[in-house]
Amino acid sequence: MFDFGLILYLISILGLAIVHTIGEVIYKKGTMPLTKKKQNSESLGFQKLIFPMIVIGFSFGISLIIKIIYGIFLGSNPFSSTTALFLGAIAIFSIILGKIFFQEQISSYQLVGIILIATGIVLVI
Amino acid sequence: MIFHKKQRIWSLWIPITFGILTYCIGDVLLKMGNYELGSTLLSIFQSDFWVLFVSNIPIIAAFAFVIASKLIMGYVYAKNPFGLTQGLFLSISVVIAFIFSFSIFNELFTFIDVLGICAISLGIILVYTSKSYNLSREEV
Repeated sequence: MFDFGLILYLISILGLAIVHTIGEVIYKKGTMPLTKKKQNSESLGFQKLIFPMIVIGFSFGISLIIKIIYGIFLGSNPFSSTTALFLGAIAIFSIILGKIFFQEQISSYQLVGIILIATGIVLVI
Repeated sequence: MIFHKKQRIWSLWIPITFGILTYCIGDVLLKMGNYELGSTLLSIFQSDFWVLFVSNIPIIAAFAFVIASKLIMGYVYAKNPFGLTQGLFLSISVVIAFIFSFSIFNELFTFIDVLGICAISLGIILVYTSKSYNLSREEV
Protein backbone atom coordinates (compact mmCIF):
# COMPACT_ATOMS: atom_id res chain seq x y z
CA MET A 1 0.00 0.00 0.00
CA PHE A 2 1.12 3.62 -0.49
CA ASP A 3 2.99 5.35 2.30
CA PHE A 4 1.16 8.67 2.32
CA GLY A 5 3.66 10.23 4.72
CA LEU A 6 6.47 9.49 2.28
CA ILE A 7 4.45 10.78 -0.69
CA LEU A 8 3.62 13.97 1.23
CA TYR A 9 7.29 14.38 2.15
CA LEU A 10 8.35 13.93 -1.49
CA ILE A 11 5.71 16.31 -2.87
CA SER A 12 6.61 18.90 -0.21
CA ILE A 13 10.33 18.77 -1.02
CA LEU A 14 9.63 18.98 -4.77
CA GLY A 15 7.27 21.89 -4.18
CA LEU A 16 9.88 23.70 -2.11
CA ALA A 17 12.48 23.07 -4.82
CA ILE A 18 10.41 24.52 -7.63
CA VAL A 19 9.49 27.65 -5.65
CA HIS A 20 13.15 28.04 -4.63
CA THR A 21 14.25 27.81 -8.26
CA ILE A 22 11.69 30.41 -9.32
CA GLY A 23 13.15 32.65 -6.59
CA GLU A 24 16.66 32.13 -8.01
CA VAL A 25 15.47 33.07 -11.51
CA ILE A 26 13.91 36.26 -10.13
CA TYR A 27 17.15 36.99 -8.26
CA LYS A 28 19.23 36.62 -11.41
CA LYS A 29 16.86 38.88 -13.32
CA GLY A 30 17.18 41.42 -10.52
CA THR A 31 20.98 41.40 -10.27
CA MET A 32 21.69 41.50 -14.01
CA PRO A 33 21.17 45.29 -14.41
CA LEU A 34 23.37 45.95 -11.37
CA THR A 35 26.37 44.00 -12.67
CA LYS A 36 26.37 45.18 -16.27
CA LYS A 37 29.55 47.01 -17.24
CA LYS A 38 29.15 50.77 -17.47
CA GLN A 39 29.31 52.11 -21.00
CA ASN A 40 30.72 55.59 -21.68
CA SER A 41 30.80 56.43 -17.94
CA GLU A 42 27.05 55.94 -17.79
CA SER A 43 25.76 55.60 -14.23
CA LEU A 44 22.68 53.57 -13.38
CA GLY A 45 20.88 56.37 -11.59
CA PHE A 46 18.70 55.99 -8.51
CA GLN A 47 15.46 55.45 -10.43
CA LYS A 48 16.96 52.56 -12.42
CA LEU A 49 18.13 50.92 -9.17
CA ILE A 50 14.68 50.85 -7.55
CA PHE A 51 13.17 48.08 -9.67
CA PRO A 52 16.15 45.69 -9.37
CA MET A 53 16.23 46.26 -5.61
CA ILE A 54 12.52 45.46 -5.31
CA VAL A 55 13.02 42.33 -7.38
CA ILE A 56 15.99 41.27 -5.26
CA GLY A 57 14.02 41.94 -2.07
CA PHE A 58 11.12 39.85 -3.35
CA SER A 59 13.51 37.02 -4.20
CA PHE A 60 15.01 37.21 -0.72
CA GLY A 61 11.52 36.97 0.78
CA ILE A 62 10.75 33.84 -1.21
CA SER A 63 14.07 32.30 -0.21
CA LEU A 64 13.47 33.10 3.45
CA ILE A 65 10.06 31.41 3.51
CA ILE A 66 11.36 28.37 1.64
CA LYS A 67 14.32 28.13 3.97
CA ILE A 68 12.13 28.18 7.08
CA ILE A 69 9.90 25.38 5.77
CA TYR A 70 12.90 23.44 4.44
CA GLY A 71 14.56 23.75 7.85
CA ILE A 72 11.52 22.15 9.49
CA PHE A 73 11.80 19.16 7.14
CA LEU A 74 15.55 19.04 7.72
CA GLY A 75 15.13 18.97 11.50
CA SER A 76 13.06 15.80 11.48
CA ASN A 77 14.53 13.90 8.53
CA PRO A 78 17.99 12.58 7.57
CA PHE A 79 20.29 15.44 6.50
CA SER A 80 21.87 13.78 3.46
CA SER A 81 18.71 12.40 1.86
CA THR A 82 16.67 15.60 2.42
CA THR A 83 19.49 17.76 1.04
CA ALA A 84 20.08 15.42 -1.90
CA LEU A 85 16.36 15.34 -2.74
CA PHE A 86 16.01 19.10 -2.47
CA LEU A 87 19.15 19.94 -4.46
CA GLY A 88 18.52 17.23 -7.06
CA ALA A 89 15.03 18.59 -7.66
CA ILE A 90 16.45 22.13 -7.93
CA ALA A 91 18.84 20.88 -10.63
CA ILE A 92 15.98 19.48 -12.69
CA PHE A 93 13.82 22.56 -12.30
CA SER A 94 16.71 24.97 -12.98
CA ILE A 95 17.30 23.30 -16.36
CA ILE A 96 13.63 23.57 -17.23
CA LEU A 97 13.35 27.18 -16.02
CA GLY A 98 16.70 28.08 -17.64
CA LYS A 99 15.14 26.96 -20.93
CA ILE A 100 11.93 28.90 -20.34
CA PHE A 101 13.33 32.21 -18.99
CA PHE A 102 16.84 32.42 -20.43
CA GLN A 103 16.41 30.39 -23.64
CA GLU A 104 19.19 27.99 -22.64
CA GLN A 105 19.40 24.85 -24.77
CA ILE A 106 18.70 21.40 -23.31
CA SER A 107 21.16 18.82 -24.67
CA SER A 108 21.14 15.02 -24.62
CA TYR A 109 23.72 15.06 -21.79
CA GLN A 110 21.30 17.09 -19.72
CA LEU A 111 18.41 14.73 -20.44
CA VAL A 112 20.51 11.77 -19.31
CA GLY A 113 21.51 13.76 -16.24
CA ILE A 114 17.88 14.51 -15.41
CA ILE A 115 17.03 10.79 -15.68
CA LEU A 116 19.96 9.95 -13.38
CA ILE A 117 18.81 12.52 -10.82
CA ALA A 118 15.25 11.17 -10.92
CA THR A 119 16.62 7.63 -10.47
CA GLY A 120 18.71 8.80 -7.55
CA ILE A 121 15.69 10.44 -5.93
CA VAL A 122 13.73 7.19 -6.20
CA LEU A 123 16.63 5.20 -4.68
CA VAL A 124 17.11 7.64 -1.80
CA ILE A 125 13.40 7.55 -0.94
CA MET B 1 30.56 33.55 -23.57
CA ILE B 2 34.38 33.39 -23.44
CA PHE B 3 36.17 33.69 -20.08
CA HIS B 4 39.83 34.47 -19.57
CA LYS B 5 41.50 32.24 -16.98
CA LYS B 6 42.09 34.93 -14.34
CA GLN B 7 38.63 36.39 -14.83
CA ARG B 8 37.15 32.90 -14.48
CA ILE B 9 38.94 32.30 -11.17
CA TRP B 10 37.66 35.54 -9.66
CA SER B 11 34.20 35.52 -11.22
CA LEU B 12 33.44 31.82 -10.75
CA TRP B 13 35.67 29.47 -8.80
CA ILE B 14 36.60 31.51 -5.73
CA PRO B 15 33.16 32.99 -5.04
CA ILE B 16 31.36 29.72 -5.71
CA THR B 17 33.62 27.90 -3.22
CA PHE B 18 32.68 30.39 -0.52
CA GLY B 19 29.04 30.23 -1.57
CA ILE B 20 28.94 26.44 -1.24
CA LEU B 21 30.67 26.38 2.14
CA THR B 22 28.41 29.05 3.63
CA TYR B 23 25.33 27.28 2.24
CA CYS B 24 26.25 23.88 3.68
CA ILE B 25 27.25 25.26 7.08
CA GLY B 26 23.97 27.17 7.15
CA ASP B 27 22.03 23.97 6.48
CA VAL B 28 23.85 22.14 9.26
CA LEU B 29 23.00 24.91 11.73
CA LEU B 30 19.40 24.97 10.47
CA LYS B 31 19.02 21.26 11.15
CA MET B 32 20.59 21.61 14.60
CA GLY B 33 18.28 24.47 15.51
CA ASN B 34 15.09 22.81 14.25
CA TYR B 35 15.98 19.50 15.89
CA GLU B 36 16.53 21.34 19.18
CA LEU B 37 13.10 22.99 18.88
CA GLY B 38 11.36 19.82 17.73
CA SER B 39 9.89 21.74 14.79
CA THR B 40 6.96 20.34 12.79
CA LEU B 41 4.81 21.84 10.02
CA LEU B 42 2.00 22.38 12.53
CA SER B 43 4.36 24.42 14.73
CA ILE B 44 4.21 27.24 12.16
CA PHE B 45 0.69 28.03 13.37
CA GLN B 46 1.75 28.42 17.03
CA SER B 47 2.94 31.80 18.26
CA ASP B 48 5.14 30.21 20.97
CA PHE B 49 7.09 28.41 18.27
CA TRP B 50 8.04 31.67 16.54
CA VAL B 51 9.28 33.23 19.77
CA LEU B 52 11.56 30.23 20.31
CA PHE B 53 12.47 30.13 16.61
CA VAL B 54 13.76 33.72 16.39
CA SER B 55 15.67 33.42 19.66
CA ASN B 56 17.37 30.12 18.81
CA ILE B 57 21.09 30.78 18.28
CA PRO B 58 21.84 28.05 15.70
CA ILE B 59 18.89 29.26 13.62
CA ILE B 60 20.00 32.90 13.80
CA ALA B 61 23.50 31.81 12.74
CA ALA B 62 22.01 29.61 10.01
CA PHE B 63 20.15 32.53 8.45
CA ALA B 64 23.27 34.70 8.63
CA PHE B 65 25.07 32.05 6.61
CA VAL B 66 22.08 31.74 4.23
CA ILE B 67 22.13 35.50 3.55
CA ALA B 68 25.90 35.42 3.00
CA SER B 69 25.54 32.48 0.60
CA LYS B 70 22.72 34.24 -1.24
CA LEU B 71 24.77 37.42 -1.74
CA ILE B 72 27.80 35.51 -2.97
CA MET B 73 25.77 33.32 -5.33
CA GLY B 74 23.89 36.35 -6.65
CA TYR B 75 27.20 37.76 -7.84
CA VAL B 76 28.18 34.41 -9.38
CA TYR B 77 24.81 33.98 -11.18
CA ALA B 78 24.97 37.46 -12.65
CA LYS B 79 28.49 36.95 -14.00
CA ASN B 80 28.10 33.40 -15.34
CA PRO B 81 25.54 31.23 -17.16
CA PHE B 82 22.75 30.40 -14.73
CA GLY B 83 22.63 26.67 -15.43
CA LEU B 84 26.38 26.16 -15.26
CA THR B 85 26.90 27.91 -11.93
CA GLN B 86 23.78 26.43 -10.41
CA GLY B 87 24.97 22.96 -11.41
CA LEU B 88 28.40 23.35 -9.90
CA PHE B 89 26.85 24.72 -6.75
CA LEU B 90 24.33 21.89 -6.41
CA SER B 91 26.57 18.94 -7.26
CA ILE B 92 29.33 19.96 -4.87
CA SER B 93 26.78 20.84 -2.16
CA VAL B 94 25.24 17.34 -2.38
CA VAL B 95 28.67 15.77 -1.85
CA ILE B 96 29.52 18.06 1.05
CA ALA B 97 26.09 17.43 2.64
CA PHE B 98 26.79 13.70 2.42
CA ILE B 99 30.15 14.21 4.17
CA PHE B 100 28.61 16.44 6.85
CA SER B 101 25.73 14.02 7.53
CA PHE B 102 28.22 11.20 8.10
CA SER B 103 30.75 13.20 10.13
CA ILE B 104 28.50 15.58 12.10
CA PHE B 105 25.16 13.78 12.46
CA ASN B 106 26.50 10.20 12.42
CA GLU B 107 23.82 9.16 9.95
CA LEU B 108 24.02 5.60 8.71
CA PHE B 109 23.57 4.70 5.08
CA THR B 110 22.47 1.63 3.21
CA PHE B 111 24.07 0.71 -0.10
CA ILE B 112 20.91 1.89 -1.88
CA ASP B 113 21.17 5.34 -0.20
CA VAL B 114 24.79 5.71 -1.29
CA LEU B 115 23.88 4.61 -4.82
CA GLY B 116 21.04 7.13 -4.90
CA ILE B 117 23.24 10.01 -3.72
CA CYS B 118 25.92 9.05 -6.26
CA ALA B 119 23.27 8.99 -9.01
CA ILE B 120 22.01 12.43 -7.99
CA SER B 121 25.54 13.91 -7.88
CA LEU B 122 26.48 12.30 -11.17
CA GLY B 123 23.24 13.43 -12.75
CA ILE B 124 23.83 17.01 -11.63
CA ILE B 125 27.41 16.94 -12.96
CA LEU B 126 26.20 15.47 -16.26
CA VAL B 127 23.48 18.08 -16.54
CA TYR B 128 26.00 20.88 -16.10
CA THR B 129 29.17 19.68 -17.88
CA SER B 130 30.73 21.98 -20.43
CA LYS B 131 29.61 19.60 -23.19
CA SER B 132 26.04 20.12 -22.08
CA TYR B 133 26.47 23.78 -22.87
CA ASN B 134 28.69 23.29 -25.94
CA LEU B 135 31.39 25.36 -24.26
CA SER B 136 35.03 24.92 -25.23
CA ARG B 137 37.86 24.28 -22.74
CA GLU B 138 38.85 27.91 -23.10
CA GLU B 139 35.45 29.06 -22.00
CA VAL B 140 35.09 27.12 -18.75
